[in-house]
Amino acid sequence: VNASPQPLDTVIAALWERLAPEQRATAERLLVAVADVDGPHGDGAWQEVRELAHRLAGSLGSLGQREAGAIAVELEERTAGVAWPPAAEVVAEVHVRAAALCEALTTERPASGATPSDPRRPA
Amino acid sequence: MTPTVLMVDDDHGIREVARLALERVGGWRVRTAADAEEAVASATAEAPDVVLLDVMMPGTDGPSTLARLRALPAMRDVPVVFLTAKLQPEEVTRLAALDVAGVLGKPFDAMTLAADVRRTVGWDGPPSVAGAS
Repeated sequence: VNASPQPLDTVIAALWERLAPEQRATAERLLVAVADVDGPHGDGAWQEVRELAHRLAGSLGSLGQREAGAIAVELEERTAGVAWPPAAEVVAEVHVRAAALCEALTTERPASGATPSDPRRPA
Repeated sequence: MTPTVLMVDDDHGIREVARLALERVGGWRVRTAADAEEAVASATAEAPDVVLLDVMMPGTDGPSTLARLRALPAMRDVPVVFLTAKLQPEEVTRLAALDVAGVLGKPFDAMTLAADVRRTVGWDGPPSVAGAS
């Protein structure tokens, strides 16, 4: 039953336009938190990295952001369960992918359908 | 009768896209809550037909929110479906062992969310636990 004359993906694209600034800001916070892992409050920064990656992994794909959503899922999987202190190579890898996430969010437009970014995940 | 869904998630973007999906594709009524307090208040005012409940929320998490909802007499038999971005098999098994109809993953497909919920709670056939292995 579709009570709206507008397709769902069109409506979700409009929703994305409204939410994009907040999602981009969250991704930028993630990038800053990764950089702070090597600082004096690194444990708190790493906790924030994990929380923000988890949040973005849950939201971006549902909002039709395929590429960014896939990167966020990758970040969530890479950081989940990694206790403090993470290995330097993990931090470096996460930093690179967080930067890629920010880049994807500055260029990506809504996909033609709001679908999960990771086909391994059930809908 | 149109089913009523209570969508509980601290991320308002997720709440909004789920509302759109469930209302427009499923034709359901959707109420939303951002945390356990709002969920309990909403369920106390009017018990929904099904609850979609985020697992990882700041403060009171999904399993603890589930316990608070189940303490309400009108909510004892209402099906609850967990939503989680953590779909590691051990996590899904742990969650599915709680008093829920099933576990669905985030991100979800807005086009199929209503059907996935129906299938998970058994409205379209036998209950299932998506992602369980």
